[in-house]
Amino acid sequence: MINQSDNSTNSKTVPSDRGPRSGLLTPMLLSSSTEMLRDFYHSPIFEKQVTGDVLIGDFRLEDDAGTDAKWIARFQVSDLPGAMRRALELGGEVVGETETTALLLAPDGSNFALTEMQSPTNDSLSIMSELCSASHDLSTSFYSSLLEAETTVVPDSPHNYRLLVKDDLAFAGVVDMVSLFRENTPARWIPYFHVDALDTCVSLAVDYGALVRVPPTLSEFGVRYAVLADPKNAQFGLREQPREGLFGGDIQ
Amino acid sequence: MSNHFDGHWLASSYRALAQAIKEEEGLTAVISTLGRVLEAPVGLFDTRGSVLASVPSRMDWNTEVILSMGRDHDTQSVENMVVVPLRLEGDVVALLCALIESDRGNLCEFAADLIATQLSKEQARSEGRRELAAQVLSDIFNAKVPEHDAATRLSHLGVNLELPHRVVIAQVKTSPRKLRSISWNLHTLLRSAGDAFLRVVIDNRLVMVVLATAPISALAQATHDHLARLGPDPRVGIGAAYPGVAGLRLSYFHARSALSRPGISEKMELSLTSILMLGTSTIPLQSLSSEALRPLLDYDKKHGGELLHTLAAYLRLDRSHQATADELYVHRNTLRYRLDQVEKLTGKSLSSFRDVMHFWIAIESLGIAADIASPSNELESLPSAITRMDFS
Repeated sequence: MINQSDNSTNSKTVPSDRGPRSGLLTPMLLSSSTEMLRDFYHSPIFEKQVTGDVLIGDFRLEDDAGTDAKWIARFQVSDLPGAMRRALELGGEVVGETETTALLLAPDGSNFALTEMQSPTNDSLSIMSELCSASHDLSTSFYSSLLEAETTVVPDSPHNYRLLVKDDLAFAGVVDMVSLFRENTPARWIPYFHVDALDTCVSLAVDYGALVRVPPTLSEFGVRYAVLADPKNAQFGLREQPREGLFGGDIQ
Repeated sequence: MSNHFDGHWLASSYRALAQAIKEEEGLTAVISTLGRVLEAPVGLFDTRGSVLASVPSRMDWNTEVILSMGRDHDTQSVENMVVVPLRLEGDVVALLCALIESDRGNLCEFAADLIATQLSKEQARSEGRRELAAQVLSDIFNAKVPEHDAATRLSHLGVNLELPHRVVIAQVKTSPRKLRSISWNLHTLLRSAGDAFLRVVIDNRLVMVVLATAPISALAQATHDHLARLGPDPRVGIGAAYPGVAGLRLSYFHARSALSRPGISEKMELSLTSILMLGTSTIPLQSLSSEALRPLLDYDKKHGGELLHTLAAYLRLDRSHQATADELYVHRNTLRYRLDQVEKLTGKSLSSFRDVMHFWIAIESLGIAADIASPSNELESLPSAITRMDFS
C-alpha cells in the first residue's frame, strides 16, 4: 500500500476521488446472500462508500455454492465485445454475461468484470483495489495487456508491489503473495475502504460477523490497514488514510 | 531453528519473550518475538479463526486446519505446524500457531502462557466494566431510576439516548458463569478497549444496546452463531429502535418478548398493559399484582391447584367457557368449579367488568415480571401459565 507522504522524485499522478474515471470502476461484490451483506456493508463502518444495490449480487459465480461471497474489480471499457475477445485470447474465460457487463476469470484465478463504458457515468473510482497473486508476473501481464496499461514497480516495496497505470493514472496495486499464499490459492481482488479509526472499525466488523485475515498493520509505506473477511467470506480491506487519491497522493 | 537450538539460544529466547509481553502492545510483540526467534511464521487466532496477530502480517493461514487441531485442547504438532490452545478459566479462547516441526524448548507454550496471563487480566477488567453497566441497565429496565437519572447514567456509559437505539437480547442453554466470562471479541479485549456498544449479562441473558444504524441482522446472526458454540437452543430477540429512556425500555421488552421464538426474531407487539408497565417507575405494579393474586398463588401452592392457570386461560380466551375447557382438557363443570373458587378466594366477581380488568392487568403484569425476573426471584416460581403468557 502506498503512503501519501512518500516524497516523489519520479511521480505518477494518481486519480483523485472526484469525478468519473475510465478504467477501474467501483468494485463489485458477488454473493448469493445479498440481504445479509447489504446490511453489513451499509453499516457506519463503511460510511456510505458501498451504496446502492448495483454493486451487490448482480452475478453469481458458477463455483459459488451459495456460501462464499467475493469482491472483484470492475473495469470500464469502450468496446465490451472486443475486450472480451481480447481477454479470451490472453487466457481468460467468460463466466457470466449481461447486456452491459461480463464476468470473467483471469488465468491467475482472479475474477473481474468488464462493463460497457457509458457516457456520462455517475460511477466514480473512490475505492482502492489490490490484486493479491502468487502468480505475480502472470497477473500483471494479463491485466496490463487486457487494459492496455503500464506496469510500474514500486522501488524497495515489500512483496514486489506493482501498480497498474493507464494515462498516467495508477488504478490498482498488485501484491506478490508467492511466499504467503498456500499452494493453489487463486489470485483475488481486495477493495480497501477508508476508515478514520481502524482498530475500532475492525472490532466492530468482528462484532458484526467478520473475521480478521490481516490484523491492523502499519505498512512499509506508512499506511495502517487491515484485511477482513465479511460474514460470507468475501475479503475486503480497511485503511486509515487521508482521502486524497486512491493511493494517498503521488507515488515514487 | 535447529541450528540455533542450544541452552544459550533458549535462555535468551525466553528472556526476549518475557520482555516483549511488557511492551505497550505486548501481545503483538510476543508474536513478533516468537516469529523472530523461531525464524518461522507465527499467528494467534480466536476460536472462530480470526487473526489476532500474525508474523508475517499478510500470511495466508489455513485456519480450518488450525481450528481443527485446537479442538483437542492440547498442544498439537502435525506437518510442520504446532498449535497451542490458550485457556481462560479452563475454556480455550485462542490458538497460537507456529509453522515449525515441533515446539522444542516449549517456547510456543511459554509464549501462549504469557499471552493467556495478559488476556486473563484484560478479561477481569472487562468483566468489571460489564457488571457495572449491567446494574445500570437492569435498574433502567426495571424502572428503578427516574428517567433523567437513567439518561445521565447511560451517557456515562457512552449511550446517547437522543439517538435511536435498540436492544438485542440473546440467550442459550449454558452455565451463567460461561455467559459472563466469555470473551465476545478478543480484538477489543486485546486493545484494552471497552466494547464499541453496551454488551452485558442480565439475568443470564446477553443484553446489547446498539445504535439504530448498526447492521442488525449481521449482528444478530453473529451473536446467534457465537451462542451456538456455547450450548443448545440459542435465541436472539431484536427490539425496535427508539430514542429516549422510555424507548430503550420499550425496545427491551420487545426483545424479551421476541425471545419466545427459537432462532432470531424481531420484536413482537406489546399489549397496552405491557406498555403501562414501562412507565411505572413510581407505582409498584408488580408487587400490587402479586398481592392481588396472592390468594390464588397460595391456594395453588398449598393444594397443587390450577386456579391461576385456569383464570389466565379463561381471560385470554375472552371468558369463553367452552374454549377454556377445551384448552385445559377439563369438563365444563370442573372449569365452573374452579372459577367459583377464584371468586370465593379473592372476593371478586368474574361478572364484573371492573374485577375482570383487575385480574387481567394483574396477570399480565406478573407475566411480564416473571419473564424479566432472575432465577433467584420468587416470581420465577409462578405457574407456567404466567411465564408462558403471550403478550400480544
